[in-house]
Amino acid sequence: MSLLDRLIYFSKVADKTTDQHIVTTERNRDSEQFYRNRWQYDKIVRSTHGVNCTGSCSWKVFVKNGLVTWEIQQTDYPETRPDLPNHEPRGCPRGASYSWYLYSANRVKHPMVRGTLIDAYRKAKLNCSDPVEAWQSVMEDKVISKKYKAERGLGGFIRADWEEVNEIIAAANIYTIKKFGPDRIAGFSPIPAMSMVSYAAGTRYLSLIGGSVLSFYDFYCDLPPASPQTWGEQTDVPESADWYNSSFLVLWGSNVPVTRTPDSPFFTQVRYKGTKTVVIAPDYNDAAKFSDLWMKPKQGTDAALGMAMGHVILREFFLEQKTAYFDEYVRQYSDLPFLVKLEKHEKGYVAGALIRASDFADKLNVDKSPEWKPVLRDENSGELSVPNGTIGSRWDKSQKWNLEMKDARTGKDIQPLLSVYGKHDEVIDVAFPYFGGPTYKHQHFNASEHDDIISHKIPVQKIQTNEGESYCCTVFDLMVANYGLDRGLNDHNAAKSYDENLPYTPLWQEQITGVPKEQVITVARQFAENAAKTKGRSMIIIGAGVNHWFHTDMIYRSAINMLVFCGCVGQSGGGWSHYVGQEKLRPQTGWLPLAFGLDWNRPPRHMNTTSYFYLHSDQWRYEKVQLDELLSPLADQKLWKNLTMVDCNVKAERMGWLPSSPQLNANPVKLAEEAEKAGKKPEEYALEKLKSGEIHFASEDPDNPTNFPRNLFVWRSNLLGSSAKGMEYFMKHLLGAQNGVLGNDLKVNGQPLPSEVNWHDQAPEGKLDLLVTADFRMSTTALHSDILLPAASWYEKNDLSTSDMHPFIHPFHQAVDPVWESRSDWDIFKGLAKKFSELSTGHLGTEKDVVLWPLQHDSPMEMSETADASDWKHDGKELKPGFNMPKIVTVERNYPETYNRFTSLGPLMTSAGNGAKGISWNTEEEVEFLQQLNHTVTEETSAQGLPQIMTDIQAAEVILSLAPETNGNVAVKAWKALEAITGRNHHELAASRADEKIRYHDILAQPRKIITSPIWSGIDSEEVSYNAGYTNVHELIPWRTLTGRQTLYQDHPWMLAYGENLVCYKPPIQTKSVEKIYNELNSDKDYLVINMMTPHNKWTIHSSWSDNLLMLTLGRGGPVVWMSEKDADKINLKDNDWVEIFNQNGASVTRVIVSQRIPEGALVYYHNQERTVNMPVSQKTGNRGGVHNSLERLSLKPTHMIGGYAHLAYGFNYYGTIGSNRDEIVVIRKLEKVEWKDEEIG
Amino acid sequence: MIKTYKILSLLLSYPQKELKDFLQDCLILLRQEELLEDKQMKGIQNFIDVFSKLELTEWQAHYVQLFDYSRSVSLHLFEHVHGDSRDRGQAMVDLIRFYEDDDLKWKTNELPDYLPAFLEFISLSQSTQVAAEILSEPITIIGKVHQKLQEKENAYQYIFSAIISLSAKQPEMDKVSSLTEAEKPMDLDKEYSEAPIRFGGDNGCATCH
Repeated sequence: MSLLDRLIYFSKVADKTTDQHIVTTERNRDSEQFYRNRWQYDKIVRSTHGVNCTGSCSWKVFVKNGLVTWEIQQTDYPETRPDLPNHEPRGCPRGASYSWYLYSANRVKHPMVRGTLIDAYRKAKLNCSDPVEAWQSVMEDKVISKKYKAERGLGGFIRADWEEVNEIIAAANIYTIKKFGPDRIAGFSPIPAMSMVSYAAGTRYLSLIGGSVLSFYDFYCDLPPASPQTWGEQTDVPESADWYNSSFLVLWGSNVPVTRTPDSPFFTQVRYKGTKTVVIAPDYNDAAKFSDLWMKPKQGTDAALGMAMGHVILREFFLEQKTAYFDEYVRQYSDLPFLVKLEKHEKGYVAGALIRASDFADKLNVDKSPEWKPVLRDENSGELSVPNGTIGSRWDKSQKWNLEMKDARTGKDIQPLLSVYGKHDEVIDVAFPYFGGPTYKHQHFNASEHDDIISHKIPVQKIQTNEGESYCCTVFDLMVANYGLDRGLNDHNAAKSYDENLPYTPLWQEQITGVPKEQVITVARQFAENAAKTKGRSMIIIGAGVNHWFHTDMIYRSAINMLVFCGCVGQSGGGWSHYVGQEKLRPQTGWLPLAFGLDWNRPPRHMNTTSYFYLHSDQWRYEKVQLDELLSPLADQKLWKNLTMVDCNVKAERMGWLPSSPQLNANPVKLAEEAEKAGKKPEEYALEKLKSGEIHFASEDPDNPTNFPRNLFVWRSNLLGSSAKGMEYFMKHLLGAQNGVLGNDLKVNGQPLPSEVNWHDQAPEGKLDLLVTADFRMSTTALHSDILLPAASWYEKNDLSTSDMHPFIHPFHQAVDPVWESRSDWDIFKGLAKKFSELSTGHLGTEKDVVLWPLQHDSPMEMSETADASDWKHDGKELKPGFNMPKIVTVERNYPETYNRFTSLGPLMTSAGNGAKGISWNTEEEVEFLQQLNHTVTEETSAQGLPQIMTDIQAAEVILSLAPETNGNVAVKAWKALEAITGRNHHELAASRADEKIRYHDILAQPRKIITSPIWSGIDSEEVSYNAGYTNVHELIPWRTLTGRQTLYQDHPWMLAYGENLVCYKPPIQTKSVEKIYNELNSDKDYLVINMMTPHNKWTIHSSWSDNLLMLTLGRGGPVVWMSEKDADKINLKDNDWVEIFNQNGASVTRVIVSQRIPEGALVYYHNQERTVNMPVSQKTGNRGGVHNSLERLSLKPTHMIGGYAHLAYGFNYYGTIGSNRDEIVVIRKLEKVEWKDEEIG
Repeated sequence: MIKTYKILSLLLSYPQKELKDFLQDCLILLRQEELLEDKQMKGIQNFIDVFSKLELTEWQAHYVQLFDYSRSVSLHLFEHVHGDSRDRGQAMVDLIRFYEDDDLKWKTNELPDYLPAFLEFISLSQSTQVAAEILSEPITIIGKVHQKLQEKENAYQYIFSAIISLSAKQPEMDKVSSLTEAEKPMDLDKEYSEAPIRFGGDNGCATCH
């Protein structure tokens, strides 16, 4: 270094290390403050989002100075086995922007009440200090009642304190119980799995006071009725990791990257292993991009595609050559070998019921329940056989309820005969209904030219039954004929090649779906070929795109048949993967007592919501679909002549098939009181009165004020903004609020009126006295409530979450205290219970309550005496509660003790045990454990000495301790309980984890994998991923169906009447929602009539995040619909134009996205976009535009009402009417004038 | 305590019976402290006249509709600058720290940027000069809310005008208008239409054929 360069008096501050890689400086580093502070935090908390997305993803929530600052994904899931990718990171942009909600202007911060209502209440209280009397006087003031109801949705909220709102709600509840009955109080909250303690808080309160708990899965149309129909299970599916074990994946009406974002990596990754992926969707959706083949059937016609694929599989893998694996599988695990009676009909013969032991004079030597023991033929001996595993053996204590290939009477080995072909006595003509022809044609969908009745040649055997000589064949024989396959029997309606235009060939489907036949043949062939080679590793991921149609059952069953034919169900990497709003509540049995107060009273009041709102929002008054449009051309039309949909529902309630709410047209508490006065048992007294006709079912007169629902609680839900199919009818009749109903009722339209339901010319408006909503954001439901309670959000409370998508149980944890005045759901209902108890003194004491309990699935009642569908009211039969009508149970409620009962685990857990799905076990050890863990109640109340449930964490511990999935000891007990029914050894499945007790604090440390339990049909092990049906196939546990096998043949009389004993193609139904609207349209303005589809949005989960500004910036900032360029051209629409969409149900307004992605003839209207953001006024109604639900109306399908019939029996969210919403037709036109009318107030 | 700030804080809080009963005493106390000019006092008198005539629930419903559901006059100050951005979280964290530097502990479940809370904090200042300085920090935001309330001809404007009169600095009007501008119902169509992306510019590739 030169002298000039060398410093003499200074040195550079920077020193370098000897390797010259690091420089040390003393330079000021304040500029770094910016990002260092940005990522400061005091603590990290594990929580998740309870939003019905099935994600149950683990998140780190960062907290600084008591404020949540941001969140990121956790990456510490337990690892999977070698060769399988891990579950992490899970999450999506919606979850990542959740903390926005905590402090947003949209947050509900304080308890709110409508000003008019609280003024009236306060005024009333000046006169009578008793809150119940004050509420009564408000209710009796017609002017005030009408006024505050009409103001619903129009603002006028004021803040109130918790004390006062609790007082009003409790007073309203007490008044309602006294005046109308506890079943006039109802609560709606969906998907408990997404925060099960919060769910349980409300339902526990309701169940303790005798209120109705409303179902959700069926109402959301997320329930695929095909699942209970086939498997006797609500829904059980593979976890997403199992996609990675599949080698042929079909995505059918399911858009995994959008709706299952955190799971989609398994789908994209498995392609690199060579797995073939096929996407079936009418639009070019996000999943289609990842597929090897995109098949695009016309929306709603998927059953035609499924039938044609089934046709190919049956021909190539059963008829042309026998595939050993498939053959063995269907003989053991499906009902295909069972015998069906062929009955005489004016058109020849028709398929009838399965043959049972009771059909024979000697009952085939069966003592117990011969009518519930279907029969097949043993191929080896040629004899008829009553196999193990039928529903009759489930309840006869014979320990023969298993799928061993044995005769239940003799214990001898059998080989079920699959087909009588070759051993047949005769070939006869059997008529099949066909719905794809001109009669049932829908103007927006193509049809073929075939007749309504198609005759096929069937090989049959003769047998001697009670009715003399009968013909029978196997289900398989009918199935082959039904699929239109030739077997050399000279059947002109059966196809010899794929190129014949006969139902259901690949060529035939082209005219209906538009899919080239070559694609159908290739996919079906490869699907089956793969399954044959891999023993069932072909999988169908199926979703809302096909489930939300009225005839979803046909689409689903056509797909399920493919899976069963190919032996995919119950096999790793194979099977039926229905992911629609399911969110499996894995520790279900631990949760049930907490949620429904089963520790204090049994049974609770459950209600199927679709029927509930069909009745109470008066949608039945506007029904346009008539039963003759749905019935099979082979059905006895006379039986149905005077009936409408709502009539069928009423009959179903009377027969005990479906629940009722309210139950009777009398106050059930008063009824019990009268009974006691008369010196009779309440249940007997009620039965007498029903017999004599003095009382009847409430649904026979839903518009009578006696039978109105009066108080409704909504929590964890946006019922009105997101779920209310037929939203405008809810607004009009249930709430009495501003609405956009544009159509007329039955009478005005001159349509036939129901025969089982009393008609009032004047429809009631504003049936509900009180709507209470707890929410953290100002949703549409919140805006329409009378009382709005600020709920703690998902980072402010303690709870549990599970999903069907992964096998872990995950916590919610309080990262910060509930902000402003919000409270956790547990605390909200606990506080209410306290107030209720206080105020009830003097009004209600220990009361008896007459409860109706429908014929439950998984109980002996599923073998009811209603198999012939006879309704005691008309058929003059003796009323037999629990056999041909609901069970009648007297429940004793101690109203002033409600709070003490709410906060303790009641004595029935010790005395009556616990269980579900047909098994039960003793639970004393767990109660003792909880006494230690949660401590006992020390106060001298009826709860003294019982385990406490004061806090949400204690509630979580109750669930975890009682559930087999989280307590190994219980798992072993549960498996042993099942062993007593199956006669086989199962408990080894959980033995290795017998000592394990998963506790709340364990899952805070890391999500934990659940323990294998008999409540579910999959196992959680190190060898296989969770897959449904696994224990049925590998442990030989029967499916909970009539035959104990997978049921591809539905032989209930109503199934036969609607032509659904076998799967077939049915076009969408004619909702007739636009017919009357045509006349009102201005002919010189462009408009288009189009079918509306309602898929999920990429940036929201239902309506959540549709008001989140971070997410709105990713789209168009508000509600949109998508349509094709061709359709847009027809009515001169440009991308981003404002459009108005309407029909007789209502009107809504959105922007339009014009895209090549959408097929012609389909309008995609996202479910669900909150109407609180960016929503102009509809020119049609003059009110603010609605949502997609404004254009819908519920229609009920009679086959979904069947009950008391093995797998077709009621269970909460298990079976029942569904709220389908894709068959709807709407008018769309450009919105001429964009008006907002939403100026801030002056 | 500087009572004027405390009273202004109370007048901007959610109206309760206690506040309604206190309205008449306000004027006396404010006059005693002599921080507000006559013009401002008249305004406050106006405010009191308007709201003391209403039923309490009417006043409450008005308050909810005005402040809870009208973004342009939100009483949460950061709403106007940070809106829904992530910066808001850090800004609130900093604000709490600022309060705590003065040995005050944040005890409610309100957010720290709630204007009545901020005014209460100022009321505890050592001197009116210090108070006026602190107040001047967010005065532009307060000025913006004031302007909106003037436009709405809402009586709450008088409280804001009184607050502004106490500040060491006056709102910078150009910034006020840019804040107001940012809030106007955007012309969404214009906002949405971006220039289409053209690869390689408009001229295409000279050497490609």
